[in-house]
Amino acid sequence: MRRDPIWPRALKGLAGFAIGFALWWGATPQYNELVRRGAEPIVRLFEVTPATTLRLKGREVLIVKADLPRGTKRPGIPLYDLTFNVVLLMVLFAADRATFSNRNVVVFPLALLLLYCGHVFGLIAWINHILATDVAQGRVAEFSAFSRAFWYKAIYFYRTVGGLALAVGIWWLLRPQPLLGGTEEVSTPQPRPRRTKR
Amino acid sequence: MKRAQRFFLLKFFAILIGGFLIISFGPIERAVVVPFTSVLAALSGSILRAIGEPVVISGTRIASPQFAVEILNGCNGVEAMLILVASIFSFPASLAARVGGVLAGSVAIQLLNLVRIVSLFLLGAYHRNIFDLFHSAVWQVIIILASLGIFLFWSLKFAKRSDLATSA
Repeated sequence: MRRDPIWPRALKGLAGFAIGFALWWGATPQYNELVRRGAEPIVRLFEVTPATTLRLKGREVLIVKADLPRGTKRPGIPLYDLTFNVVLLMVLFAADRATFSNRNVVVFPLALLLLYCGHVFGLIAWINHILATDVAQGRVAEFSAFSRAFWYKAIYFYRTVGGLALAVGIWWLLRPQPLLGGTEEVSTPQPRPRRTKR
Repeated sequence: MKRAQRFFLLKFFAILIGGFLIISFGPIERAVVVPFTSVLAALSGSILRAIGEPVVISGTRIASPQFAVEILNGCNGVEAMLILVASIFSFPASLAARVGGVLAGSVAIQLLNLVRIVSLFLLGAYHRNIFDLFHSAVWQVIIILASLGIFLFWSLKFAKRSDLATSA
């Protein structure tokens, strides 16, 4: 068993951090649009009378209620707060022993897709938490005490620990080398057994 | 995916969610998490005073004439400690190794967290334009990577190889 030296991987992780950070910050407006499109139909699906639309404003998503008078406060959600875990995911994949291995390259888009589902869920949870607690949005009565508590805990969990743990969990789930075993073993090629003629 | 891997992930998320529900339960949050965060604020305030910042500490709040921050959950390092606890307790190892790993790892995380709080306060006071970026993204990622790094280091030292061989 031979262990990988740590420094090359730390450097690759650092490069992943820089690239992930630049992509995350640079592509936030476009990516926010994708998350908005994923979340809006689901939010409306659970409304008695679908009236909620989501609008992008800078790096925020605004909750716009068609059934409220003009001038009503439109709460904004800083979506970058939910999506920065993509930087963590980039670091973890970049620090892999074989960053550009076929498996890593194939699996990374799948990891991003799973993370996207997490972002959509995070946005839905945040919106529902606001709708369940902000009287000005006129929907508080539609939420039971249980669902109010559920959405509060869901977004609280996501924002404090769940979002980051999600990126770690996806990486553990999809990474090429198994985590269990304590070490990442580098297999050394074994000589082929010779065929002997009898 | 091997059975042991699946089981590890299931245990990891179960412990994580269970731990979160415990620490976010109102009475526990008030009795344990908030006082713990106040200690962090006091320690960070002492460091800031030592380097010449005229700060005043009030509970979990650090304030100076230029800037003020309130240390909330998500910035007190408890989230990274929770990820560390969930990782270590999902991994096959002796109880002593687990407890030792959690204690030593938590101390390391909180030392790093002090650096985070102090640096964020200084950024807020003198470079406000990049405070949000560092607060929301940079330091969060660094703290979780530290937690993960501590876990991976610990797992190299204390993995029960016989258990793994049979369960994997």
